[in-house]
Amino acid sequence: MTPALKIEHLNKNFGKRQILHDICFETYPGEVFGFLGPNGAGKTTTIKIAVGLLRLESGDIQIGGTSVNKNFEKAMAQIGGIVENPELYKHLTGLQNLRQYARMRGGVDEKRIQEVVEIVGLKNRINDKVSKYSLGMRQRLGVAQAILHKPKLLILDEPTNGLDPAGIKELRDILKNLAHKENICVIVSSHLMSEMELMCDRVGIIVNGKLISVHSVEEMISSSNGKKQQYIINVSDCDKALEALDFIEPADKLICDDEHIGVFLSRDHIKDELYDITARIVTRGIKLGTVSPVENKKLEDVFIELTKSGGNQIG
Amino acid sequence: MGKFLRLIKNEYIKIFRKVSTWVILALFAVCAVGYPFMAKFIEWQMSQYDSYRSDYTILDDYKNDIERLKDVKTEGWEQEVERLQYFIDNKLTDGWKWEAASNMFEVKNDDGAAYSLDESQRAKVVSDYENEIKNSDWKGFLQTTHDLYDYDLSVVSDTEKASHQELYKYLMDNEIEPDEDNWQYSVANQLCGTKLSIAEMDASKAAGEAIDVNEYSKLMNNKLLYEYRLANNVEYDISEHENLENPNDFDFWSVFTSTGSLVSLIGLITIIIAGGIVSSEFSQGTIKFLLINPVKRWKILMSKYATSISLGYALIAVLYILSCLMSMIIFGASNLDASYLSVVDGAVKELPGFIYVLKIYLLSSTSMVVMATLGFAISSLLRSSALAIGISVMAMFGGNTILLIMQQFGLDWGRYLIFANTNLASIMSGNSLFSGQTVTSALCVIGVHMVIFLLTAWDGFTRREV
Repeated sequence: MTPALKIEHLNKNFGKRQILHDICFETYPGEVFGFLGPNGAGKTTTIKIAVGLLRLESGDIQIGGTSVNKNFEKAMAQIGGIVENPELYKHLTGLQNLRQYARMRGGVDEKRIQEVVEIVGLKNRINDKVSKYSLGMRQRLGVAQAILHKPKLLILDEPTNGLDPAGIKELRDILKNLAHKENICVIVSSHLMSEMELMCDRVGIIVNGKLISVHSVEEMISSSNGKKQQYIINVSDCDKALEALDFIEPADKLICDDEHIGVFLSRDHIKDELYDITARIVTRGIKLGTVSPVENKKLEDVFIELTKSGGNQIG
Repeated sequence: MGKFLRLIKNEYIKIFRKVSTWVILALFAVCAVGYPFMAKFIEWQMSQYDSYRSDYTILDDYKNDIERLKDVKTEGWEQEVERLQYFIDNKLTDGWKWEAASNMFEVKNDDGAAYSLDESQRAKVVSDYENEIKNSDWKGFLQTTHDLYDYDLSVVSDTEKASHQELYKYLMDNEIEPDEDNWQYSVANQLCGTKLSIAEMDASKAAGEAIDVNEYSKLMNNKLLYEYRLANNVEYDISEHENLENPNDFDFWSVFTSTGSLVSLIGLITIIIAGGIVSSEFSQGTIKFLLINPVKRWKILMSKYATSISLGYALIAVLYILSCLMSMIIFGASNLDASYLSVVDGAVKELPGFIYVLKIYLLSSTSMVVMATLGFAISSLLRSSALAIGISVMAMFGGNTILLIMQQFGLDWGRYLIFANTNLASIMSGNSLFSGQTVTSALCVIGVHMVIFLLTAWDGFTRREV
């Protein structure tokens, strides 16, 4: 499959400072790719180079197999995007703004514009001036503008900024829909890890201008969590309960406090072991309260673990 | 090409959806419409002033003069009183009758110092003039005056006498009434005056004196023009009614030609548009959404430039039509088929009036284009509308001051400055600030500057990291 976006050996300097170090990655049609990194890591710089706002100094960028250097207009015709804030023409209405972009791209008729307006849910306010829009509404208009010409690659820099929870969910559904049903490649950058976890199929993490990992979300979380899952059990007598669970290695069981013990169970046969544990406790006459799994590590924890090496200073 | 036109359409929409644009255009429309009204107002004010000098008061003046003369009794006062009384009796204030009466008294009171006439000849001239005034016989007046030159002692040379007599002979031959309102008479009169001036200058030249070469060639041109008009029966020449110098002369053409000065106002508007068209995208933050489109940057830049300049010319077209209509409404649609006469290489050329005014407008637009380009370059290089507009407006309106200062200090290289070359109209008419400037050299200087400005804009915009 031809990658929707292929970045090869991308380097970028601002003056003497090297901002990007040899970035290489590919994204494919049909996936939502999350681009993560702390402030100043180079996310926006990478995106800006990809959409042609910054000059490409070394390396190559191909969009749908077309090199940006060789055929700029053809490459850019396949991209839609929002970079940084959704600053649109404030003195025009939402519809007039969309018509501006439609005219520059070609192949977008009035019907498509109406369709896009409906997708982003701005139908009732599209004839208002953008100066009267809230940040969330401008964000929606930005998305409308980005998907207007049915791009094969959609690049959104912090698209959930300013959206309300319902808006975030809507956007997530829109983007997932575009990727999984219409086979578009969506690249999203964000600081909101919980969002990214819900939205993305794969994520790339960039720190200090270096791409340190590209994995699917599940891969990343499970590799970090290890093979065992911890459970907390509420019992009336902790010592007795531990004794009863003699089939568990001592290293995998502990007393948390007066009423709780903790056990680490192998992910492969959690169910069977749980049945066994509850049966053993109850048959010994120990009172059993709740059995609850300890929450998994989230993308956020993984992200912080992966990026903490740089300390708290902006790189 | 279609895509480029769509880009221009985008720019026009962005400009015309702004309230500030309409405010500026409204001010401009007020100026364009108000200009002919202003001219009418000045004309009305001057006519108020002129009404002092009606026939009635001139005759009153004569009466006062008589009272005074009777009082002080200076030498020859009786003759003077007789003369003035004659004017009053016949109600003569101007025109050929007044001239005839003046001549008549001059001859009558002459003691042989002014005219070489004997007693009987003198009596005949006086009675002839008297009869002619009584019978309104202007043909007779022409003949009598023509013949009188033979005896006029104040005429120093044969050429002078010949040119005066030629005028009266011409008027007689063509049956032209010597009335100020008769255009043929006034043109013939002016031709006579011009010929006399030329003869005078010829005489000074022959005597080895220095003469004003410009003045001489101007006289020669005027002579050609007057002769052409008489020969081709051209009653109205726009070159005589150009600009608003004399309020008595305000008419459609003088007002319409002078509205060319409003083109500098359009220059101002064009600078404001061109100076903001690139930098406003940066200040609004919309530049990122503009450049993310599948359009090469130089095309976006050129569409913005084309928009600024074409808007300037669209406004010039609006000004032309508006001024034409307003001048016509206020000053009347007379002499619409008139031409502008000029002398080119010794031959008289007729340029239809409407084309002549268009030419004025287009020549004035040079400065607009150059300064708008300068503003455009600064705007895309520094991304600051204020700087772009400020510098360009200063260059447009302050350039002449700089040149005058340079001229004072004898800095001749000022001729290569852009300000010294944008006023094509004055360069064309030979009134340039620095001697020896030609239209070709001006166009070269303009061309070099335009290339520099556009390359600056190009470089600043296409290589910009956003």
